[in-house]
Amino acid sequence: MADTADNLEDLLARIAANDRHAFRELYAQSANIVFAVLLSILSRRDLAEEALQDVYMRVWRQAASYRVARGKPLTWLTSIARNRALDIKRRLSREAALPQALAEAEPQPADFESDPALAAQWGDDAKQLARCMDGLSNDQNRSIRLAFLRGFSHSEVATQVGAPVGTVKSWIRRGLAALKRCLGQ
Amino acid sequence: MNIQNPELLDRLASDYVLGTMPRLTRRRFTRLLAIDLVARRAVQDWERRLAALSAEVPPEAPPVYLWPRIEAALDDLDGPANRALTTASRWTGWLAAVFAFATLAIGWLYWQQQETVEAPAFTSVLQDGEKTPAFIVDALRDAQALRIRAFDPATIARDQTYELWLVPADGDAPVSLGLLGQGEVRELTLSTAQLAALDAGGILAISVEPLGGSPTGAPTGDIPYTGALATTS
Repeated sequence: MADTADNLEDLLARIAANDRHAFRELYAQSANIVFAVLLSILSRRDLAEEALQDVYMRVWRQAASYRVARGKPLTWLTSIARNRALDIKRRLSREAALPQALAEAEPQPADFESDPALAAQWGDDAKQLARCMDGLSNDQNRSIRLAFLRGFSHSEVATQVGAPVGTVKSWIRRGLAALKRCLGQ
Repeated sequence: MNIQNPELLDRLASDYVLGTMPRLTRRRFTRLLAIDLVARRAVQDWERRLAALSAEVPPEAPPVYLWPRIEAALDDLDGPANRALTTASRWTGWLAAVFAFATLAIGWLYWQQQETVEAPAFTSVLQDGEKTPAFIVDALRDAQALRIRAFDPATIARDQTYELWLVPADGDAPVSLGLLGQGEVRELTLSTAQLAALDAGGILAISVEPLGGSPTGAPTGDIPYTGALATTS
């Protein structure tokens, strides 16, 4: 488990050379995470299923453009997934085809200390991020998590937390600035 | 969009990655990312910083029928040249995938009565000249319809629309299958004549036309996307 990230890197390198077995293996190892990320933002299984296919088609085509220096494989995969989900969500929200569902259960901080598998998948950066998130105010922390994990817009976050949009924007802005300082990069 | 101010760029990149950027700004910023390395780096920095938040979402296994569909779409993407080398194995793989999907779909129908699930009679991946897929078209034979999925096709002017065509294999004039708008149209219902033309085979092509579609009945604008038509019946 400790070398999950290395393993995904190897698989991506092989996929870049059109290795279908590597692609199947990458899917087997990552689809449950990618699907969860899509479902969390889209809240509808049919949309998440379509998006999952789109994401892996893109992974197949673009594996050659993955660079280790730009982040862990899961960072790359989940970024592709989030972008796809956000594009779909924003389009459907505009067409009012997606009911604005309030988050009944808000995401909870990951517990890296008691879950070594989680830590292995995401690497040490994740622990540092969790520490820095802990350093934010509750409002900043909650707003950032709702936006990132649920794909909420500023106004959706405002509805969810019961604060004016302007206030939410400034919580997020200050929270992100504090995170950047804390992460030291 | 042209951003020289590093602080502004950093803020836009964080907005983009967090997902809070308004829709139209997001579209413009996406176009900038395609051509601007500095902007892309700023986005990658924020992706690296925030990605591990996703560790909070409990993993969830996707339904088993999705993998065969992805494999089938990949087979189609490989194109006729590659397919010719291993026609038999690809063909049986395709049929197996479609059959597996159909079997699952039937089971699924029992408890998902509101959704029409049907094995596509073909899946066509329409790509640009650099082989980047922009549209996937599934033919739903029983529904006599095409299901269309757009993967961020190039933005076209507000007074233009994408139009989907069948270019018949026998060299006949292209047959319009319908208008796709800017890529937001997700389903096209087919007439008997369109179905017959599809049955005869050919390739799919997407042209850029004025609103309302081609005024001449044949493609008049650029044809940015084309795709092979792999029928299974």
